[in-house]
Amino acid sequence: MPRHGATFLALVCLAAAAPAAGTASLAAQSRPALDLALPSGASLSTDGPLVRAAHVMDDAQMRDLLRNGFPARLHYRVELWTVGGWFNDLDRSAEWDVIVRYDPLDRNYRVARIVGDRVTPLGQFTQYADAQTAVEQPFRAPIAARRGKRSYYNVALDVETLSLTELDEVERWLRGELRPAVRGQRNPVTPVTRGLRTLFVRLIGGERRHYEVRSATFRT
Amino acid sequence: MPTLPLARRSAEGAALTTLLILVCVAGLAAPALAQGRDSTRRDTVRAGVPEAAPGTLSRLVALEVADLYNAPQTQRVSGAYQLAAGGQLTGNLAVLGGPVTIAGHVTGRVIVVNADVTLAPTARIDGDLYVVGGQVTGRDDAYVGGEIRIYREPLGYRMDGERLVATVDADAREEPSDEDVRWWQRWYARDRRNFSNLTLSSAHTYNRVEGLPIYFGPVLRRDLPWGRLNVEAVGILRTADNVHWDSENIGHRAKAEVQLGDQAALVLGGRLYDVVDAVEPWQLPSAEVGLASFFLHRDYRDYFDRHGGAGYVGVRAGPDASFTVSLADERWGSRAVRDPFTLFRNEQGWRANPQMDDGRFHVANATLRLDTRNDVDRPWAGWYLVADYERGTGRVTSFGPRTLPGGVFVPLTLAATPAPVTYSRGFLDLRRYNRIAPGAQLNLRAVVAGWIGGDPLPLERRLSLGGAGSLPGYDFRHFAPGPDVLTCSGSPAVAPLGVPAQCDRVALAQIEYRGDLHFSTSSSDYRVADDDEATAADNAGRRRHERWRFHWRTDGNWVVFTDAGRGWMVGPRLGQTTYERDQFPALGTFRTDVGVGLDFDPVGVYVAKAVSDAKEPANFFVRVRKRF
Repeated sequence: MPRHGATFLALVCLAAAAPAAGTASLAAQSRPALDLALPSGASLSTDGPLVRAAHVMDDAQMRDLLRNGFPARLHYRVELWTVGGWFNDLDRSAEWDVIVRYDPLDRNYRVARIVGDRVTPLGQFTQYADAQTAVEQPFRAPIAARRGKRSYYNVALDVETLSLTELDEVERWLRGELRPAVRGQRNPVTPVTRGLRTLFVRLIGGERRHYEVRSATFRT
Repeated sequence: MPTLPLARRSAEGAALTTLLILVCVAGLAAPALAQGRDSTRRDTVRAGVPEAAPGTLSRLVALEVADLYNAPQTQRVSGAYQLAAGGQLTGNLAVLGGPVTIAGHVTGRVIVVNADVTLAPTARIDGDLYVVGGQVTGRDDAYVGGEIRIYREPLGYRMDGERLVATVDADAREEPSDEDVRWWQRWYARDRRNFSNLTLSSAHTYNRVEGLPIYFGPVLRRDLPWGRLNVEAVGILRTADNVHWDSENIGHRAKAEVQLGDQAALVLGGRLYDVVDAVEPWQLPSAEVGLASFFLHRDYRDYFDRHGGAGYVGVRAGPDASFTVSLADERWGSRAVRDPFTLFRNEQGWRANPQMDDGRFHVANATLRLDTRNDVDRPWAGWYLVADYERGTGRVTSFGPRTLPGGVFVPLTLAATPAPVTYSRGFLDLRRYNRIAPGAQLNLRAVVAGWIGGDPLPLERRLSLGGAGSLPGYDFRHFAPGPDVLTCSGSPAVAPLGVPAQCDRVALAQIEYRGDLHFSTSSSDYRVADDDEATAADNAGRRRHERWRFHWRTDGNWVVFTDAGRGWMVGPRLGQTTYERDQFPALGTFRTDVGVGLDFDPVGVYVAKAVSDAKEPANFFVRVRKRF
């Protein structure tokens, strides 16, 4: 590969790694995670697993977007798979959302869980940390295993900021990250690497973080 | 996404680039690595339990707690309750009043209404703990296997015999009572409501003839008594040549569609368009092509201009299946390569965009789409099928340069009078995703496409193989030793500028096996062995005993794959390049490759090696999301 090609790769690597590196020091303490706990043995055929996301809203970008009026959506999908035969079969699935929005008039964060058409407000909070706690509140998935089968659960969580268009992103980037760098208030490399990363995620279809966790196989 | 053919470079360069790729993948994958794709870790959920502020006990919570209190197979207690250490209560417990002290083992859930709860360190609740109108002490030391919810606001209730009735208006159970709930419902349903707005977005791609296409214009949607109406009219501005305002940089796309029905629906619509379309969009997704173009100055598609209109009618059976018939009147034209900005290698030239067949066509399509995959982006199981039949009739004003069977180069030919052309073409892309174990899958894909009847296919409808999207062991538009069965262009000496796809037919089969990638990282609080026969109770017991051991994380997939395919011309039999219309090439003439990769969703890095041509060097390449 030509020398400039290697340079290109190195820069792309830096661009891609920059956000991760920025959070690396925090990662050990607050690593994003999706936890899944099965109900007790007697309840396996009546209750679904307990699902909880942790530290998925810790990053400053998420907080910034929320404060600027872009709601965050955590979409959960729990799948029940059964084991048997040549292939594992998807038995059934359940989905729900947890939505976080910031109300600039009341200056508080509002959190709600939405399962089907049913809305359950989880509270209003003046502190972001409290809203995070509400978001990370565990929830028992409305799904249960069938009796007499070997099964396991697969849980997927997609975290995305809603209604964020390219124009919004460019404007925010210019206003929030590039300008301080131009004024010498911030490392000029930062907006460039973030810009590259933004371009990358925009080209592949937008910023959406995906988490997945799977239970051990169990028999009901 | 970029293919990075390293092996044909120097060893030093290859080593450097390999190192950079690894660093790059590590960087790109870092967020994914931090995403906790943990197949085995199970943890108690006790930290971070929110306690809602007084006055926020909602109607829904009150009703939910009443339901839980009244649930069958629940032992209900009024007044003080105490479960001593060593004691066990089988099933669910509901306590009204209190206080409640638990030091023993409750195998089900615990509901406490208007009372405080004290948990001793020896307390164990396998299910959930819900407390309304009280607080909990000792929860950090006790074990609660399920969800903990605490509401300090007391529950208003009355007793109807043994049954607890929350003092809320029962008739209002389905009706949201406060503005907040209504706001949430309105907001959540916003996509299902009527709307009209101005949209501004990119096409999520980038290429050498347009740069970045930007869409701008109104979008309208109306739910009507008899169905749904969708209308959009967007202008297209292309950023190539510094967004110079000329016909090359301006386009449009308008659509009006009526949908009769909801899940099962009849769809009628019409489109007007002046767009740049890809000759072979099936190999790589637009996003990956855009990334490779913008970052690497490598464009893995060819393009042509489509200007005209179309009408269509279709039936949809939910989101999984549809069948559409369309008829279009279009002008097809060649697009010259431009010089859009790229982040790197910007000083280099682009591969020419091949000259196509220019003319006016009436194109009829019948397209069947079936998609039963459990997840579009990360499928574990299901079918994906796209089958398309196309019949085109038209008049060609100029035929692009091409290579005839036998290696004869034919330059650009201007027709004295538009030459009539009639052709038919089929395209079938069939995929099956199989989960063969919780952490492993076997995926299969077959693509068969090409000429069915009539005149030779226009260049816009020809096909090729090779590159990261089909046969990654072979470089994109690369001439391997022996007969050219990938682009059907013969040899570099007789290939038209840009090396267009020229095959009349192609056949491709892909197989891949994916398995979880396990890393033994650091010590953690619990480990649960991935024992297929383990029951939840077993796991709970094991969890206690294996505290502070290493846990295993699943942070990605390893992938093993093989591909086989080739293209050919249709005509009088000629060697291994041209076959009669009813002949299928011998399997021994197919090009095959094998490869391995590491997929750190969404980015995967792979290496593929051609098997049927031993001297072809291995290719490293990067893909975003899955290979197929």
